[in-house]
Amino acid sequence: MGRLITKLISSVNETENTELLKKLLEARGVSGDEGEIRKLIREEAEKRGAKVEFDALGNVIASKEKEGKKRVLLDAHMDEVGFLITGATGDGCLKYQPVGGIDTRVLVGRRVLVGKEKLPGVIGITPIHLASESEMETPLKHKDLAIDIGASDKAGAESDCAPGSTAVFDSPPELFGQNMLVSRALDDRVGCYTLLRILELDLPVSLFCVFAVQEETGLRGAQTAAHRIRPDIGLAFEGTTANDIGDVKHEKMVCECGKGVAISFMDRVSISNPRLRAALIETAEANGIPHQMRRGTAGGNDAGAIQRAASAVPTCTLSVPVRYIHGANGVCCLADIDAQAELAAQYLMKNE
Amino acid sequence: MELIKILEDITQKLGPSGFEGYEAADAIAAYFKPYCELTTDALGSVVARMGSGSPTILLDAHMDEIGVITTKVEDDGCIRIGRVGGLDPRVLPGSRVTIHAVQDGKRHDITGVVGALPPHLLSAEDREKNYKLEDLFVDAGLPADEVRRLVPVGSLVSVSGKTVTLKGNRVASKVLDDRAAVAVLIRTAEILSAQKFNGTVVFCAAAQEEVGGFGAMTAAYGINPDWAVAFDLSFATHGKEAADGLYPLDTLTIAHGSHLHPLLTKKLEDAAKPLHIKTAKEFAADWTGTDADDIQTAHNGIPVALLGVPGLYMHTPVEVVSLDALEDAARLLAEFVRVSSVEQEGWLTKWDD
Repeated sequence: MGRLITKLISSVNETENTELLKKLLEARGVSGDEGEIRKLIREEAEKRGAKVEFDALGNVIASKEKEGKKRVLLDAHMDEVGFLITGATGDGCLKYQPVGGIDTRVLVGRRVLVGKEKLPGVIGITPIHLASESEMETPLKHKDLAIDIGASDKAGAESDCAPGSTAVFDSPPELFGQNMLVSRALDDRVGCYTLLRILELDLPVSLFCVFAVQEETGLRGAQTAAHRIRPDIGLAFEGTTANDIGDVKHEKMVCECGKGVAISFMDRVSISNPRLRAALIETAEANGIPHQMRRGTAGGNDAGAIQRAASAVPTCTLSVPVRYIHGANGVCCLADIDAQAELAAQYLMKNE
Repeated sequence: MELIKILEDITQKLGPSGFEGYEAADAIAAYFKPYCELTTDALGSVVARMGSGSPTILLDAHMDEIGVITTKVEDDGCIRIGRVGGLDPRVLPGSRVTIHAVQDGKRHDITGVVGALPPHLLSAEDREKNYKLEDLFVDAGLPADEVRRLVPVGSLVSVSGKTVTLKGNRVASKVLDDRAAVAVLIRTAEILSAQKFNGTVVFCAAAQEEVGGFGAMTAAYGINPDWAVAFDLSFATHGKEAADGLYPLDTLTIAHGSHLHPLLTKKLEDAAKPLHIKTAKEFAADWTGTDADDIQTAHNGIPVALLGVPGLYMHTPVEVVSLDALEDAARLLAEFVRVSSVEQEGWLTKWDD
């Protein structure tokens, strides 16, 4: 599980890259409130010489067009799951709606950052000493949970934190274990990171990198961006669920951390183009890039929206396996992120 | 010293029941050192004395915390866990933890994440249930052979829960139960070091409360005080009025019940009045579930009162208390020592009711 010896991606300064990944993971960007991450990505894309545009939904489209070359859309979503603050209770606790799919069982006892000011808040519960048997056994519903920022009444809470603002997990990135990374928002800042690394290369294609909004709330951004670009090929770069630890049967793992980039054949919203998929596998094999099939059909991502844009686009998804996805502390392997970027780079390099 | 500074430090020092010596005991002792003479008893309770002669007044708060301990490493590297004290398994899934592995006397702190089977791999029935401790594991991001090499079974695991200041001068942190009270005792020692009182005050940061009050039991025997106040968290409400055994965060609670000495309890309540500190009556007909139960029956019997500061979300990594209430508690305890220390011998055994 050592670090991948890359051919194209290795040209890039490693320390600088780790810093970039950290910055991407620290920026806020709950679906519909992507301002902070959008600003960061715009700066980073411009640094890499791309032409940067925003569209009406808030997507960042960073392009390096080449006349007469194949139009390639690379997509990563910059939004993340989180909380939409809907108001406060009489005693000052913030009520919320979950943005994206969040299991309430991973929320209890977590710290969050509320609003642009990143006000600290906590999600508590009735203590074990006072909880009823059913409270101990049955997961709470989102409507039963609240974010406590220390306010003592409704007016105070809502003046500190206006309804309509969003909150994220307070869970910064940290390297640990053997080449592993733990953080919130790995889904899909790893994809954003890969796109920024690809933007550093001079590739023989007409390149459109879409940093999409609102993937977690229905693949909204990718749909309109793909319609605008009308690409010849679309590739989605994702973080996807890995269930490879905890005494899980092999057939239920979907994909495994440290075993390379996961190539999709299908999920709930799209079936990968078989020729594109075969070409990607061939590229991985020819270049010794660690890869695995994503052995599951659940879930869905921007590839589905891109595939059905305009008069159809061949698509495939390349994912980094992420454990405990959609929680405060996702876990992935750095080598898999490198493999994701390297496979994309090698594929595009020969794809004139 | 500011309470928040003490809290930010001592809440992050590991010391589950029976393992208080890992970090917590020394960290706490260091804060008492400028004011007190220090000893540690055989169970590991930190005993800090100030003054000399009679009476001897014991102020107790427990320093141990609930905890997690490793029990087995599976072949895929996941680490199974057990609990120390009344840990709530509901707070664990998806949390970031530190594994405190010790090998040949050398410490390795290893980051991990608590995992469980994801919802889509659970049966429809299990999806409607909370995870039990046996369903959970710690993922150290390492293969099994590395985990087995680095992490001996029986290693302590701590859940991350840094101290953050919320609005309204409230603080959220892990282990405020009962380090918040320990911090108050440190602050009380600081106040008393500049005040006159009779006799001896003994501050005890007791071991092993979360598994049964054993530290306070043996420390009270060793100290043999004339009277004592146990200090622990009570349960808080967000509301402004006490209801159903829950108290507003900015109130101190003073308990009434069979195990608690009525005259001593009244003394504590009366001491709050001139300081304009808000107190509320808490009730515990029999067991208080605190060190007070164990102090009461040491030697020939020790009059004990029970002070509480209300905390929210007890036994989670985001317990919440009011810093104002903690400061009030320190002022109250210092005043209580001052006024009770001048009482005549035998004041608590008159029983002329």
